[in-house]
Amino acid sequence: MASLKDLRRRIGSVKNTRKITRAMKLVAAARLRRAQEAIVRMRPYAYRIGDMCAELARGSDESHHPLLAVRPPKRTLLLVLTSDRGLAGAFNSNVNKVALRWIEEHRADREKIVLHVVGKKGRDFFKRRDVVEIGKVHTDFIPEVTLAKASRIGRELVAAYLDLQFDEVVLIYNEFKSAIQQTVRSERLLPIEPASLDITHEILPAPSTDTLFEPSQGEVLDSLLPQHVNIQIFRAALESVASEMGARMTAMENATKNAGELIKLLTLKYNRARQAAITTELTEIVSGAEALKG
Amino acid sequence: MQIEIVTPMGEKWRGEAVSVRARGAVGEVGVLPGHRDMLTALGVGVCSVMQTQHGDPLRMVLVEGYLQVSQQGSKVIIVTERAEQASEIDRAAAQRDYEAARTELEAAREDVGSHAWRLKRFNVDLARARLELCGAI
Repeated sequence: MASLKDLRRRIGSVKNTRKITRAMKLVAAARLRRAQEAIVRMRPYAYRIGDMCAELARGSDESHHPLLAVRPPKRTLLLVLTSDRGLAGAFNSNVNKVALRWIEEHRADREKIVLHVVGKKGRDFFKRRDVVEIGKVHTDFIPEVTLAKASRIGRELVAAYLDLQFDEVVLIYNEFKSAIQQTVRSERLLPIEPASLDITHEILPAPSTDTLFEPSQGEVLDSLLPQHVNIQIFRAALESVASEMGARMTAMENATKNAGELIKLLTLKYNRARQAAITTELTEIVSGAEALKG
Repeated sequence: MQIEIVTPMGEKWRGEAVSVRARGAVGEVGVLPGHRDMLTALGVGVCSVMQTQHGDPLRMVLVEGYLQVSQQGSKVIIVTERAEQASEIDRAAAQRDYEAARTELEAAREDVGSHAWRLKRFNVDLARARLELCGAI
């Protein structure tokens, strides 16, 4: 049986752990709220750009635009969104596993698969396994996601795609459902699927044939479509951050609860041991006194 | 007509107006009610929204984006990466930025039209638009 001193030390250490997990939970909750607000705030912008793209793409022969044209997928770029830090439940391992499965399923019919990864956790996972060529690692992207940062990644991907280095770009990330539920999604980022543009699924009035485009329909489309890609990355990154914070919040909440139970258990044990020690001492005193009397 | 100014940080402004002017990618754009349907790319510049015929316009700097006129010229949607009102601009900083950006642009006169040059032009345009909004130019 552990000594009283040991028990006291263990209780103290579990209490410290609980303090940390509780603080982490609170931080994650605050950041989750921020990420959720950012998602809501950027929605109108994403919808408007999507509508404009859809209208433009409908007006032109869409298969002609290089970002809309589908090529047989031979070379693929995978963009996987993970986090820099752990202690977020299954958040990172879920997304990494889906990406790994994607690679294994598609390796046979692809000439080349290159992985671009956001977050240290994804980088470490794929470095250890050595199953895929790791192209770029972005570690300064999260958790403070901005459209400007997303655009940097988007511009790179669009340039590589237009340069015919890749035939498709696939994005794999955690979609935020709730603090306790995240689902991993894989989406094709490039070529752009025309159906993905009309996010609102609003039935738009037929585009008037005499809509004026400045500078020209082609040029506006040339600048709008990459912006749509940037927004997709931005949205996915915000979803991913919200998921990470949700997962961490839940994980830390459980850890805090478990620590509390452990403390209760240890305190009980400690009290019992103390009681036992007191009883022993009392018996010794009493029997000592008895012996003196006799 | 209905105006909506939308940024990635949320809706910046929405309301009724009698006219809008903005800096287009290829020149000044002016929209009055009943304008032909239009979709145009915007540059960096000051946008003014006249809410009434004779009042002070609502002014802000728009940093690129798109302006769409639809529904027979009764709805104008402006999407932009950034919209700044005068109260959000630090005039002294804008003045410093303007001078620094101008010097840089001067220095890059040799490679006019290159990507780096266009980026410097953008910085000059942005700083100038901010100063214009503050009434410094």
